[in-house]
Amino acid sequence: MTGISPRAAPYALSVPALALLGAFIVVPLCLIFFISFQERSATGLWQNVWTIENYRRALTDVFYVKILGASVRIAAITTVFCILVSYPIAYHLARSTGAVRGACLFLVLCPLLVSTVIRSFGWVVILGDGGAVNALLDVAGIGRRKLLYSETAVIVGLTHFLVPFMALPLMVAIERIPRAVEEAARSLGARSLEVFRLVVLPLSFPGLVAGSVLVFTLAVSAVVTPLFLGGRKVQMIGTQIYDNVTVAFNWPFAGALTTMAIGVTVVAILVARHTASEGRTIR
Amino acid sequence: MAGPAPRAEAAASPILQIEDLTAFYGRARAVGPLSLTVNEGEFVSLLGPSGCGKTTTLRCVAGFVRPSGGDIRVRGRSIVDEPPHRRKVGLVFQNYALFPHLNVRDNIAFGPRRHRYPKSEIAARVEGIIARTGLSGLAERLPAQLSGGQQQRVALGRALALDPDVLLLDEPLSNLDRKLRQQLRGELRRIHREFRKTLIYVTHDQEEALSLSDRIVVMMGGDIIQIGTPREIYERPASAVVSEFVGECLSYHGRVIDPVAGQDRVVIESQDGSRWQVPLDSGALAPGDTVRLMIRAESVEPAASEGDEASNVFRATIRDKYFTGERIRLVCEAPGGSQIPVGVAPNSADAAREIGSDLLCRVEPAAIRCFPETAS
Repeated sequence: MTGISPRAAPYALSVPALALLGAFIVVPLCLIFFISFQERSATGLWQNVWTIENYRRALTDVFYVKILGASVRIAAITTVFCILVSYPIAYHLARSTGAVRGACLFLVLCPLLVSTVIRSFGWVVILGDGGAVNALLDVAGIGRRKLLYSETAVIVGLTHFLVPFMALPLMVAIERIPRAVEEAARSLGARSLEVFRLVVLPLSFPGLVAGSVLVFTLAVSAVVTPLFLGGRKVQMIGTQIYDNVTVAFNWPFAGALTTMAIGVTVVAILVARHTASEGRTIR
Repeated sequence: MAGPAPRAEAAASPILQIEDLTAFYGRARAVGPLSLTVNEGEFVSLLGPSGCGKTTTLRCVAGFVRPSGGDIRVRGRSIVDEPPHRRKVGLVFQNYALFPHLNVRDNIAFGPRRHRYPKSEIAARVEGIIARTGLSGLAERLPAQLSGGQQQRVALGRALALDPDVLLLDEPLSNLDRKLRQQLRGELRRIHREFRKTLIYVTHDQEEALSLSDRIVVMMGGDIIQIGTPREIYERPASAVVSEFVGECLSYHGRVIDPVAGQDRVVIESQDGSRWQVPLDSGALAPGDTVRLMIRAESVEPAASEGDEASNVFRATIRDKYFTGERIRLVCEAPGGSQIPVGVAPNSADAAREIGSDLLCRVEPAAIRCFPETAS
């Protein structure tokens, strides 16, 4: 048997993963990109006529522009909420040890252990007209509110689902900040909020950027959560693509929306990379 | 409460007074009760092995550990209920804990800015510190772009920018290599002279404590076991434990046989039968008392001849041999089985001796410390 040279080994070992990614992600994406420039067919998935009509429609029809805007808005707000919720959790995780840490980590990861459908149903029960929140509002004398099937409900559901994707990178980043650096700030007169703003935040910035990219991309392309918690009233790119594939059978248009969703993600990553390098140079 | 009578310390003004300080971690007593008075401008080291309570004491003074009892006063004002930043106490951390994202100037300006000093005063202070710590020209650098010595200056400067009454240093040199450590000790002495601050320095390194301090506080198991100048600690350790901690020692359990007439010496027979002469000033000893003898490795030297009984000569076996630069060390197994390194000149006849051969050794009686054995 001829050995593989140590220098070639990393490449050789990554062949299976690359083959899998190539076959099931790159090739389908290329197909989607190709279809998005084809015409819709009444009988098949598409007909082989080149056109840019799908993109013209997605970018000029107010209905779709609004959906694109709503998706970006929902994803951005979700990201902000995830940051707000995750920082205390991540800080606590990073600074605790042993059994406490294990238990907390498990709690943070819990949302990922449940299927999206079941998790969303959970929120339907909590936010529904006869749900827990409304029952409380009733008792408190505030009166029942329409909570379900709104952007708020979608943002709540997405935040719940996506907190682990923010909390874990933040935890790793905060762990790298020596405790003594925080104590130094404190001994020099920084109050708790100043310790956070002047020490923890800037030093965990890379984790913040990484988490934001993850949360934003996952939120902007969400399907199941907006479907369950937003109903017909809240449309996002994901739900539109889903409708066009399964209901309207307009694959070329779904392809155009998909390409645009990927475009939004790429822009988000580029912005994040830019911010991260700015953060490094400004200090 | 029956407090101690006021001590005659008016001449040197005490800046920090620790009184009956105790600190617990859960149920375990970490410190105390411990009392210590530090005078203005003094360089005091807390010396002891890890877990002796020295760092806990320091953190009590800094305000990061809440004492369970006792009082800490700076210039007569009790600070135990004050938050860390209102104590007028500066802290220099192990590994310095500089802010890695801030340049030298911003690191030093951090304290004054948090205390909302006027902008012009902040600038003046910071530039003053930069100049006096020898950091001019490095103000725009990040900590990662500085050498170990420069980092130490930033850490000291950052703490000094708030003009603290007392500067606390928590093993600042412990993770550095030997050469750098020696260089930084010199810098520490220089900064102490330059700023004339009161320094409290925590270390487990006896050499560091001996070379830096005006006074050394030796701690063990949460208690102070001796306070003294470096020479006192080294030459007149108060107990066998201090003696053992401050240097490499041969140790014997023995019994007082008889005072030697007219020579101010006591003869002591150790358990293995060897006899030692020690100075009478080792404490009041009566025939029959059990004692512990401590012999510093540095005070053992090769002997030319057997000599008489008064010369503390003993026969040892060479077990190992190594070169340390200016000396060759012969690791000698003394009567009773314990080993000590005996230094000899590299070109001497003794240096040529083989491992396994015998070596005659002698100790000056004055170099032997003798401690009454506690009944246990």
